[in-house]
Amino acid sequence: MTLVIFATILFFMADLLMPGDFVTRFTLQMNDAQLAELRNFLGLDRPLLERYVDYMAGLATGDLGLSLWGVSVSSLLWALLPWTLLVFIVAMGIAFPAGFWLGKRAAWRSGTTGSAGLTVGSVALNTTFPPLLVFILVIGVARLTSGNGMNSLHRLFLEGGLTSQTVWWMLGTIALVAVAVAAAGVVLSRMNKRLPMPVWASVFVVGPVLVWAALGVAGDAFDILVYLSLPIIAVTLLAVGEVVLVTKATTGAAAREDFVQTARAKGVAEPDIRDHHAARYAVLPTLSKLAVSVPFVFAGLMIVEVSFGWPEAGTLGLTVPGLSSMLFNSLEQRDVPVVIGGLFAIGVIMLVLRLFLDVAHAVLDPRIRYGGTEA
Amino acid sequence: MTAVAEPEAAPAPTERAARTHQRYAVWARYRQSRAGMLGLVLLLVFVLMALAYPILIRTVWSPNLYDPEFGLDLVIVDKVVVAEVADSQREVALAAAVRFNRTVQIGDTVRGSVGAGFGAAHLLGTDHVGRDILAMLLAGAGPALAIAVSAALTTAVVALTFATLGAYFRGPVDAVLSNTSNALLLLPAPLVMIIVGTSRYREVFSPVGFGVLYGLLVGGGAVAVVMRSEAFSTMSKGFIDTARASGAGSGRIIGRHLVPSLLPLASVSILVGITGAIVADAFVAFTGFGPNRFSWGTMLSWAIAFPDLNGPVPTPWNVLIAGGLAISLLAASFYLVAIGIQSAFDTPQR
Repeated sequence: MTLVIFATILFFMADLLMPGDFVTRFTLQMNDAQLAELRNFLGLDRPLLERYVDYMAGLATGDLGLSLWGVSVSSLLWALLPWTLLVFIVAMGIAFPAGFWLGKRAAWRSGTTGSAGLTVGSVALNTTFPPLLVFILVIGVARLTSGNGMNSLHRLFLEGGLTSQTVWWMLGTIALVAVAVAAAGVVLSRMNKRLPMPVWASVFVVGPVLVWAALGVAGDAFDILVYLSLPIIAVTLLAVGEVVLVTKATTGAAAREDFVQTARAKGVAEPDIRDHHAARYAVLPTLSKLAVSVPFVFAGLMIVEVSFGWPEAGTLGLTVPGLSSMLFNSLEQRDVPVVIGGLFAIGVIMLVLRLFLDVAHAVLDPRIRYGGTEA
Repeated sequence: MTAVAEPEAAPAPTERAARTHQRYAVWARYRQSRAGMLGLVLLLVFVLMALAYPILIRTVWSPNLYDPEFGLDLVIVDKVVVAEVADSQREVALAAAVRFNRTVQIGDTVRGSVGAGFGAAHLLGTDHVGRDILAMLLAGAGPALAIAVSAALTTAVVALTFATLGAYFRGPVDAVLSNTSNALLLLPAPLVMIIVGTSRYREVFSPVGFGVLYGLLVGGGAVAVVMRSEAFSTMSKGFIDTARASGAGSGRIIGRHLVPSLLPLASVSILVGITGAIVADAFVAFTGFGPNRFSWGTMLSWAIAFPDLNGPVPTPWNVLIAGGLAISLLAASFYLVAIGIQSAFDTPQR
């Protein structure tokens, strides 16, 4: 239902806003009759409502339509989406644990200078103008490495050495490991056992690497990660501030709850209270608050991708493939189906993410049990 | 919502005193938040900057030298003619020099110009063609604040309308509103702004127009989602039932009871939300799409898009850092104020 409204908003927004249409770009080369014929051929002369019904019908069968250049939008997405997703997932995978760790510490020492400094620093990161961050990163790295390693990787990328196929494999592996870890966590908690956090973290790092080695793509995967390292660092920095701030607020609120006082009265050590009582309780509100700010992180990611394509950033010879390059190129060309398709893909990602967060919420919250045998 | 301003007996002196006291207590708690005070100070600085620009440009600063777009303060220097320019501050390309003097050759010295740079006249220096950076910073403060304020007001109105109507009437009203919010939430607002910025309606993007559109998107989306759950939990509280039992109409309950109790949380999420508006506007201008008006984003865009036409200049860090910092700090000041408000209302009271 939400998706239908979403697609409708997108369709009308894109169609009404875009100046001229795709055909306008050929005005100089063709006469009016030819232009009209081209419009007719592309179906641009049909009434808006008819095109809308057509588009929605196509969408219902998973058909995102054709780009006006004749390439199917879904094939474009298939080629470009994984890069964006990989940057996003890896960056969030780093930003969330790091931010949570910092945030709970800041909450426990609230009032000290260190905590205030961390707050101000997080706000600064959160509100940094992304292109500036990219420049600083790119030019800093260019100074450090003279761009050599990146240049050879860039050549490899242009020659087709780093393929979207590999990136899809990497994404699939990460998802598999995540599912395996979640399953293991559930099984262990049924057995009332717990593994310390570093073990989980190392599983997350070692697991994918082992699978990649088994698949024989470890070399390519490593190259891709290095190639995408700068965007990943940029997005991580942009996202981590928000996580710190939200965690600090929620853990701080949890610290005022009665059960924390009880634990303290029982003589539980202070770090244990923080990690096992307050922070564990704060995970859920943190997740649900972050769910709202995820679209903004994603917008930041798009801005970062575009900024890497800017001439000045080009000193590194780095182009970041991804959704935003597709979106912005087609914006310039008034290629409406691609723009709508790209935005729709973003919407679907956001929706999947919210579903995922809801599931995580249900799994982590002991008060919510769906279809379980015991209460 | 304000239509319910039916005359009411003036509050008894003690009640008024209690309210004043309560306000004072909130302010006292706000003052304890270092982050919040830092935000207020920053915000004050930006307001002063915005006020200072029109005064300065009318009195002290000659527009020829200090206009952020067209003011150029150039210094005439001697430049060496070379085949390929490595440093445009000291060298000029043969191809360019020949246009003014046909007999010129490589190795000759000719007259050329560079930006005036740092000095008493330019406290933050100039960019490579001699535009004053301080003037650009001051000129950009006004539009940025206008965006922030209009975005905040629009967000507040839209989000509170969505949340209170949904929570009060429930049923189909809530279904329509919450589905719309969820759909808007799927769409990163800054991206939409960029799309509108490339559209035929780009001239709608006066600062206020930009703020209003951003406010509609964020207020109807992210902020409305947050406010809605808060409004629902408020509706289940005792004082709403009391009001209803004492015969208050729907307008009165929403306007006098629901909205005021939502305001603290609303102000926090609105202030956090509009930091995005400031960054989005700067980005639209930065990409070179968007309407023709001066902003900090334009300033950054010029710094990168037009490196000296005669040859490469060193990375214009003075412009990049100044403009980027201004954008970030203005956004940060709103975020810090939000943190202050949050901590002022967080402590349990009553």
